[in-house]
Amino acid sequence: MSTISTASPAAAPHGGHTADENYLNCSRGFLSWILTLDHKRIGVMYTVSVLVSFLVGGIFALLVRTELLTPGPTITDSAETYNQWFTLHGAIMVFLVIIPSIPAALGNFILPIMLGAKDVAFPRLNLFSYYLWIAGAVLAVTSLLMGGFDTGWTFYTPYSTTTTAGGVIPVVVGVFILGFSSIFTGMNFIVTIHKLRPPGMTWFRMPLFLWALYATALMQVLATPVLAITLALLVVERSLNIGIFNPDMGGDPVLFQHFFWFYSHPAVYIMIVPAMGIISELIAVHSHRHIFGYKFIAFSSIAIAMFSFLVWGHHMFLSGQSGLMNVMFSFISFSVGIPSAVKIFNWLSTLYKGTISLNTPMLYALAFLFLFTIGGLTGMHLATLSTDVHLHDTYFVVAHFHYVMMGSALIAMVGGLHHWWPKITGRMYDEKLGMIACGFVFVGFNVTFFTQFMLGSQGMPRRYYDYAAEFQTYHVVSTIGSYIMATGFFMTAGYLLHSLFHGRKAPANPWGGRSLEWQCASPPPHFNFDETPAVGDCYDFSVVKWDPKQQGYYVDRSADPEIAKAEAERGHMHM
Amino acid sequence: MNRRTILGRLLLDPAGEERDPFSGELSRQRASVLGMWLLILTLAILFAAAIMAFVVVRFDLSSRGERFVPFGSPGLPRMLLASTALLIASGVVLHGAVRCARQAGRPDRVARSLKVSLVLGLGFLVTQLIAWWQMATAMAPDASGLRAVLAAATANLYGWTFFVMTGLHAAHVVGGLVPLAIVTHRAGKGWYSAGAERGLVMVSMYWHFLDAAWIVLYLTLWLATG
Repeated sequence: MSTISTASPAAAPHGGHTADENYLNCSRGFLSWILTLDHKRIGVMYTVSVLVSFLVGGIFALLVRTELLTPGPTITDSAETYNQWFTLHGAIMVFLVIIPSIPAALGNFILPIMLGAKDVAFPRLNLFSYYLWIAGAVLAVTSLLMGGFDTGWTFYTPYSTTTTAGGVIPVVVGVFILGFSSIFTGMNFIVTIHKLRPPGMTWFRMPLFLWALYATALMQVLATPVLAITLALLVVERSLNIGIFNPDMGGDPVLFQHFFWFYSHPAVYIMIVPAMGIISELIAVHSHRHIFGYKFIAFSSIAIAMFSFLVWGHHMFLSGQSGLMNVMFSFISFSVGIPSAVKIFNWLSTLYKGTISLNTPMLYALAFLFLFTIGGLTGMHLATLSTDVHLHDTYFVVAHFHYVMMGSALIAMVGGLHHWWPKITGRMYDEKLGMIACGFVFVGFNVTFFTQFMLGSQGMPRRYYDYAAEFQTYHVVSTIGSYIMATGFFMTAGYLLHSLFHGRKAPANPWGGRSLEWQCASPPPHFNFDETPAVGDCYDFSVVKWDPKQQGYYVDRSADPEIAKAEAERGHMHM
Repeated sequence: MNRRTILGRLLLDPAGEERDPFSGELSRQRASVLGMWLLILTLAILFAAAIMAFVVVRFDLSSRGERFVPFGSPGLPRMLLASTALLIASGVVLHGAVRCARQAGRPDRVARSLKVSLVLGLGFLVTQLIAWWQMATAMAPDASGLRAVLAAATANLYGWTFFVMTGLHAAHVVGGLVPLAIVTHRAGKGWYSAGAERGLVMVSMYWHFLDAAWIVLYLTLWLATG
């Protein structure tokens, strides 16, 4: 077979199933979803769960911002309640939203299709990961019923081992379990990428999203176990009142910080690296131009993954670690700027003279470039020892990591969601509303968080319930920004849900993409492809043609000599 | 169990049913081996982090001139030597079972070796429990049973380390005995032969990791208390 059965929009699919059969309608009923081994359905379940968590975490963010409208009590009299709100906001957004949002939700859906494979290497382990995620989320809710927790998302000892809030143990166990969900997803992706690449897809023919997921999976597998053991020791210590983080018994509380950040700094890159992978896809596809500096982007993902293990000490400049360590951690932290900048410049060069389609995914990609640059450069201020002493634990840090974790990682996730929405649901969303909502999010985000850079540099500490009256103007502006942003996200939820029922039917390839997911129907059939298709250069858009009948693009596979070569080699192997 | 039942669909179907993305048993096994290496790598990091945390605290104590093992505390139980021997023996026999399965022919011998390995593995857990009991009664002679263990584990950092570290390993042994029991049961039905030994190989890789982790852990404890 030389073409993919569902590749050409005009060709009638064959292989024993009807034209309209896809992964959504091939079986029905609640059980067919919760027991599914189909990576696409698991990806959809993750996406829904992550978005629900995003709503909950977002509500806590709005509560925090509203409380900060005035110094002293605004909507709650209790500083403890406020502590629980920001802790919940942080813990939910980090562990339930951003870490799983790209790899587990979008990655699960897209990765096997990009490889032309039937599924991930271990479909059953994949479903198990999802249930671990659910178990972790349930434990987080349980902790709320047991008195909540107010430790901050970092669970620093000795506070976390002594606070009277009753929900610390369930939430820490929950995060422990979420960690294993993340590890198993990472293992699955590494094996899938190693063992299930299609003919013609050498390592340097992989879509950059796969390189990013691969680098992410490496970090998930190598760093998460350190968090697991740290949290396990924390639970033991809190329940037995003795442990290696307790100085009374000869232990060391700073040890907790070392171990926590040895995971949690790589975790920051677990959030941002897959986001960068999405941006590589968005920018190449929507500017219809070959990605610039493919190998540099691929290697910079791996470089960031490696650096991630060597910079944890920059969270601890003021913890009393030795001056020599501070200097080394500072220096290595600066080095992370190099692979990050390599990516930024390569994306800019890709845009240059590209045929840019200025649609919602592209707008989110451009927003990412802008926000990530600010987030990255302010990281330089914080890696500088002398300025960090001043900025440490102020709103400057809050603004910096929101620019990276939300302004970059989450914005990329939302951009990716729009990019793959037609593929996942088979429906087109309203482009105009999408662009307007993106505008609200972008403006609201900057109003919220750029203000916080100013707050922080003037000395407003993070996590405070009360503040001096001189900071109020900034806080009011920041809160208004958060309402603008929330408007944008509610709009997005509205038109995306609307499109599910009333959206135009999506063609197989609405954007002119050329990786394999755009070469099967929207939504994809139950088994993705009848036979693993051969691939060529997935960023060579010269073979992507417009089909006016379908109002979509198609990939002219016969025009690509690389595909023909890969097919010939496969034929040779079969003989 | 029927593969149409919920449990059957999730647990008992060996070929991965219709969503199996591999084209043949060889490629499936190679992928499983890579996956198991990654799991072992993950767990190795988990154990290494636990040991490292302990070593840091142990050196801190020395540098302050404090004793890790307080005066009057018992040394490590001798029973640990016996349990080490049992675990290594179990690993060797399991290795034999895998080799036997690969050299076609004697499914009865595979099953018999697996049974021996399973019994030796259970023996390891029993001797570990005896060691716990010895340690607990020596450190907290007034209490009994689980209370004594709790008292010993919270008495000082030495007791805490002993019970947490050996407990961490024992939990992973329990997690290895369950699949070992399953493959032993399946081997009795003649499941494993040359070219179809995937499940057996997975269990044996994990079991050898437990061997190695225990030896490193035991050496660490031995050096730290010496």
